[in-house]
Amino acid sequence: MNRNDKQAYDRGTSLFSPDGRIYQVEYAREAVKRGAPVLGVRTADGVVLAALRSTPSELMEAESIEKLHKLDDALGAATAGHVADARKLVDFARTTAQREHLRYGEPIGVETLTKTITDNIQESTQSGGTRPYGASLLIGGVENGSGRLFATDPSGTPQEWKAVAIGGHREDVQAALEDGYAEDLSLEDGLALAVEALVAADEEIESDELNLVTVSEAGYEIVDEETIAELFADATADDESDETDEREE
Amino acid sequence: MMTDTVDDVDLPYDKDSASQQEKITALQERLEVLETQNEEMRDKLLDTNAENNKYQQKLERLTHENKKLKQSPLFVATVQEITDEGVIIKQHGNNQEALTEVTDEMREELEPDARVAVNNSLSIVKRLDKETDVRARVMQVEHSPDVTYEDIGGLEEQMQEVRETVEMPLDRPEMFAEVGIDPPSGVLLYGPPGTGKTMLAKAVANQTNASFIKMAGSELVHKFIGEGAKLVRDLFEVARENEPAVIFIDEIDAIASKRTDSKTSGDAEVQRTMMQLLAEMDGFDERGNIRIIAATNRFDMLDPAILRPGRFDRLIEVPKPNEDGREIIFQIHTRKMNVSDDVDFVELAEMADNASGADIKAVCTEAGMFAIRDDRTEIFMQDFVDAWEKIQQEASDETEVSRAFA
Repeated sequence: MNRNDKQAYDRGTSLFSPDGRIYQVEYAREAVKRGAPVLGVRTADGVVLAALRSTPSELMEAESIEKLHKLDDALGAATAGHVADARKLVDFARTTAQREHLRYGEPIGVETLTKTITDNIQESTQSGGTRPYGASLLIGGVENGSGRLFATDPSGTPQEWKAVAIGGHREDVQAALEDGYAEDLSLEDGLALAVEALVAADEEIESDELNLVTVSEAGYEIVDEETIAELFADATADDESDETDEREE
Repeated sequence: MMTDTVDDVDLPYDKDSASQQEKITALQERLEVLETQNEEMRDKLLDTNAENNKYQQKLERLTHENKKLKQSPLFVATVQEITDEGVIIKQHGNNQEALTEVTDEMREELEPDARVAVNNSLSIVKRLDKETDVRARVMQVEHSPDVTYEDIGGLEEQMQEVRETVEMPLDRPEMFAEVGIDPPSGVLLYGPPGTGKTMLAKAVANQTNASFIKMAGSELVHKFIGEGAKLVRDLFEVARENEPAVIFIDEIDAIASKRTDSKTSGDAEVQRTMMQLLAEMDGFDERGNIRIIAATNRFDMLDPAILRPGRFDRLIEVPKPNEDGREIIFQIHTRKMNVSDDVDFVELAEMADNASGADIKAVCTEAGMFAIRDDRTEIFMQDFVDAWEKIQQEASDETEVSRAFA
């Protein structure tokens, strides 16, 4: 045990290091960063979820990379990190949402669902022999007419956000969101901001790598390719005009 | 006048027939010959006498040497205390203490903690110089490396900071005195491998007039307890003797890693070496006009104590170069190369995304190899592109891992 702090205390999740850390959980956060970024934006009318899905090869079917998931009629999730872990969590979320829907005859609340999921995540950070989930979720939905957006963490912490990004290049995307966010965004503004933020973090992305959904009173709606292409064109045009502005200055 | 007469002298004339006149002439001739002979003999005698003297001296020397060789060696001891009753010395090795008398002349020379040589009967024969480890001496750089600031690309800011910390206090100490601050004592360069930390130090060594002492952190790790610490002490001793001086410690993480509770392994000794370093940098003793540069690529492993102000007050990150930096580095490394006009450095810099300075050097060398393979002496753009692809292949094999993530 005296080799070095880290090696001694990262063997399992049921052990704290002397400074109060659980290294396995921190490593799991690194797994989340290995995924492509996803983000959520809360607007007046609902929530926008956006994901970047890049394929390693042209021969791969882009559809098979699932990062945005429908959980209920007006409830969606975006995942980043270890794919298989994320699927387990999405499956758990769907089951929970449906069970609740059946039992009480009304959709589950976003906060309730998030906390049920994070309680589940937490279990794997405290029981022996388990490894934490290497994925994080953004959960967006409509509750009493207004949008709500939550994020989970491999430690099992639920947090509510106005706009948030997880996954790779998280800091850049989050910075772009912080720059562009306003309280009174419409759903359309939210979509534009989402695309802008992803473009800002990685200039080389193509429009067909973007994935967007809106979750509002109207339900979980996938944004079609044409709209994405338009939003993408606007975002990249903005970007270029910004650059020319700078040059003129 | 002759005092002895000889009867049967062989006379040079005929006794009976020669006239008186003939006799005189003959005798005079004979006398002349004898005189010359005498002269010659005297010269010979002088020569031989001189030779004799020489041999005598040699004999004396050899006898002396012989005597010396037969003498038992002197012991080394340290003066503990000088009292009226005599001098207390402590022998090295067996740590025996002894009280010995010294002459008044010798007494003046001595001071506590001086090293002295004592003979069999433990009387002090002579005082010895302060010892410094030869290993510390050889670290002094006499031939400055041929790297200059011009050879470093894309690190202007870092270079500026290093020069401010290292060169300014040496060149213009009065500035610091007037402003009223003590110059920073050391800089720590950290960053990923191959980004030019050692290059920076080499450039400083080349440019500065101060004596430059270089060493690798691993050189301070030794087998026996106390050896490493002693080397650190000697190192600073050498630096103080050669003020102003710059000490460069490469790969400092070898000795300055975080202290742990470990009592069992060799870590403890390595840590003692580090503590000596800490004490030398900002301890009770005056450090003198010595600047310290250290380099590491494991910044996260360093002990917080070595990073606190007063030791390494300046932590300078040496990052991987950006695009502009890469362009400059490409230009620097191709300076001596026979590069075709079609080579576009801007494009190369854009292509070599995330490459370190060392990577770029490797690309340039590899491009040269491609040209040689083609039996050309001129290097084309395509060679660089091929070289980059080759080096990339060696570097990345990550796609399989990333399959599990999205």
